[in-house]
Amino acid sequence: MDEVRDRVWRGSLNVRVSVCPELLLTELSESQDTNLGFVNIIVPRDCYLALYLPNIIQKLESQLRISVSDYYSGWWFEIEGARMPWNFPVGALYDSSTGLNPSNRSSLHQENSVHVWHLMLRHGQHIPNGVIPLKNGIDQIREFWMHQWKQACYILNGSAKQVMSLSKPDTLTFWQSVIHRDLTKFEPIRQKIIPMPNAVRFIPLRIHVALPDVRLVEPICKAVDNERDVELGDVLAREFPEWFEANEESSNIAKPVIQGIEVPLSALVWEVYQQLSSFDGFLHISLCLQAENQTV
Amino acid sequence: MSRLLESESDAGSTSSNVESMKSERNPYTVQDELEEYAKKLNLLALGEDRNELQLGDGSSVSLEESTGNNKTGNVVVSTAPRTTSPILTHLSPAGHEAVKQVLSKTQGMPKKLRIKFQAIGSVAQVSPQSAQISSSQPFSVLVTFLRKKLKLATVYCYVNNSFSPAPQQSIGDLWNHFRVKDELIVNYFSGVAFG
Repeated sequence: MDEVRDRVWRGSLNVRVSVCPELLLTELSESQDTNLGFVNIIVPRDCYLALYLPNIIQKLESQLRISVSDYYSGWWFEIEGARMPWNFPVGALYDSSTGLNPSNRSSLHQENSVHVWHLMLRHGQHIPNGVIPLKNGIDQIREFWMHQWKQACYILNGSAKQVMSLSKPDTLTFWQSVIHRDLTKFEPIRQKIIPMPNAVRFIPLRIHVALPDVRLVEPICKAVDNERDVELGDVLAREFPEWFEANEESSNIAKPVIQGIEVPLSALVWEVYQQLSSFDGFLHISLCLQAENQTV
Repeated sequence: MSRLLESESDAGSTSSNVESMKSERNPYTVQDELEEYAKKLNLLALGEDRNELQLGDGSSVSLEESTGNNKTGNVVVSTAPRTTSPILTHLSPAGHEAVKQVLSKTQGMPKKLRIKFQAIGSVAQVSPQSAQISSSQPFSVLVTFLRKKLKLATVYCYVNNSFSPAPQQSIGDLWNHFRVKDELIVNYFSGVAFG
């Protein structure tokens, strides 16, 4: 299981962040130089993209027509014209918004090619509806993340005590481990929050749906129901009966994708949680609809 | 600075009490985001949000009356990115039907849920203490409601004395997970109570 955690933690995305043309210096936006106005970065799947705002903006600052006074406030990302919230792991947003079909991924991958996700960086006073405005930089992101953990802890244990009673050094190390991508420091503190299997109250799940519109579903899910371990298919068939018919895997029109991996419907939710849950304490499931002749 | 913030946030307010002054001193708080977020909801003409707050301000029935008028939920729902949208045109007939069913289901009736407000420390208790609100509303509606009702520049809200949810999280989801005796308990304070 440690190997799975390690692979999940190291999972990454290739992202090209282009600056909204309105923000570029006039001479640059009119220039034919195609190497301007964007930055290519590799980001961990299991983190908030907003944590990389300073790195991205610093690289682009000299090409912008505005003077940058704050690397967080007023900035946001868009995916193909749709606003992108920063407060979910970027990998889950990628999977749901691109309708990722992991089994197609290798066939689309050609030699000497790299798949790149295109995002647009925007700035303005009127941040779109649904994006939490960042006014207090990285401290706000840290506080938000801690509250997400408290919420997940409450769902798991019936109270947020395990998180609230973490020592100050532990709390600090926990966040630092996210920033410095240090799983060996992250995991022991995570284990202090996660209950023993027989004490799990509910499992913190978040299901991301991008079609027909972008939605988040937070079902109530037990680890064991009626003395039977709950399977991923049970939860999905209950929440999306039209999409998932219990025990008929072949007829399903959507796939559950977690951390970029297609997870079988027969997988036990508690086991999946332990292996594939995100750095914010939730198990993020992206539902990817399958097209008849999928080329996307 | 604090004057400016105050007049911006609540035009009619002259009775700034100690708590609100205290909280205004720190201009960069999470609550500012919520505030701005709520403003944005208004800007984007999500009418039911505004109506609700006005009704809440004007009557002691608070959220109860206003939520009855709610026709649609306003938890943030946005359109899919263009890259995913083509999938819809490639769906099998069964898939198409299933998507349609999901769409019609989400437009179904939102439930009315009971919320209980509990003040922390020296902040005034809102009256009445309980209110009803539509399950499809986002949590930010409660924050904005309390801020206006209490005439405070910032209000920090917590569920069950524990955590502060994302402003766009639906009250229905919070209620389902964290209710106590069929009420969602929302604790509030003019500053940070639980870091």
